[in-house]
Amino acid sequence: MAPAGGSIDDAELARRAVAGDRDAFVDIVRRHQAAAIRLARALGPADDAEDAAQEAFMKAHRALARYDPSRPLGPWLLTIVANEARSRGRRARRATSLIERIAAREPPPSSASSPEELALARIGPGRLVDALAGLNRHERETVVLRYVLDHSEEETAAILGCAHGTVKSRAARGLARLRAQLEEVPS
Amino acid sequence: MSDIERALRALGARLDDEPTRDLVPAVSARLDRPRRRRVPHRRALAIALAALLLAAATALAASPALRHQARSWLRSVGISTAVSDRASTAPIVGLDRAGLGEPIGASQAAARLGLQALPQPFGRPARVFATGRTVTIIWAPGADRPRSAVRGVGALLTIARTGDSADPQLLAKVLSSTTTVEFVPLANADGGSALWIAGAPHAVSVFDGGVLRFRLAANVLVWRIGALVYRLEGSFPRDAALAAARRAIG
Repeated sequence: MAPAGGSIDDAELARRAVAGDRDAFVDIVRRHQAAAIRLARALGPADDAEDAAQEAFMKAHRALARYDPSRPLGPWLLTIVANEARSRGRRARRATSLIERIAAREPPPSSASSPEELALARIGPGRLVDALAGLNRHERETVVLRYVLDHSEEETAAILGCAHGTVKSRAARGLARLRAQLEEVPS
Repeated sequence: MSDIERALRALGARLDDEPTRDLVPAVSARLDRPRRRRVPHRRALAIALAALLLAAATALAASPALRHQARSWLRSVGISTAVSDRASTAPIVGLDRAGLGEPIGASQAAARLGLQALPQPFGRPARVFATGRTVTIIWAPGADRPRSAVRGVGALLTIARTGDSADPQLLAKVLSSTTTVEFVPLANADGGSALWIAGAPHAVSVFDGGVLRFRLAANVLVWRIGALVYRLEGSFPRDAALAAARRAIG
């Protein structure tokens, strides 16, 4: 989740944005929008992810004075994105998540023979998505952030607002439940 | 790594292959729009604290050191200040438009502030309102409290916790050119003093139905004790306000 390019770090951009520098905040959006949209797609309704991310950035802009620059900006922003995506998910209970939608597709030709796609093919994308849906929210979000979105344990803890140890235990429990549902023997 | 972990990562890779709209143009356009004053509910506390007051004028302009001292003190309790010719044109409002929050019981209000009981410098309150961790106690007009700038009210004592209030974009306003400000001794308050704002009516920002507005305010005494900031407003003179503050502090 390191910022892409640029010599000014996030804390400095945030400081400038708080002081009223509009372009500094636009740079923040530019750096973090991809991660924000990925998270919104993973946690909220598929058709609403970009709007959710955009709204989250506007909320972050209004709340920026409360950001603690001694902490990484990315997880702070993504916490706002996660809240916005969840909120939209609650309002549209029957909306399809993008994970469900992409699981129903054929694998992209460029990665069809990758170890990851082969594993997905063995398990069955639909079965995996159903098993994910069977987890409780905390475990599902932890598994999605850790393994689908590939956030570190530290980032996942910061985004979900829980302790590092909680992420480890929720991830372990989530994987165990998936394994039980899928009757997979760990390799 | 297990097959499940690999399969989950495959889903992540597929997510990354989805086309993505650039958010920068839309966010930029929204940043360039004129700011609306509607504020999310969770900021009610900050705004209610903003209602704690306003600031200086002729007296301060004539004394840069005092101006600096007074404004620094106000900033330390979460209140910024400004001077405007519009101050005295702010409307007189009733309790329903004073942005005080919802009616609440006295004991519940005290609990929100971490107090055992609400102060009662004018005896039993007529009403108590709260928004977030900001509580306002209302007394009807009486012998020692003439009508204030809020209709039907003789005195208002607002008490707010300062912890959540440091939002520089939301802080208070606004003086007319003959409002005066002075520090006055108040034993048991932090620093042993309070700030007295009097003279021409000034305006304060209030949170009313999600919208930031201004209302006219009467004389005000502000002091701080620990994490709590107290703002006593009424049309009474300075000595009467100080006497009430001493009764409130106990």
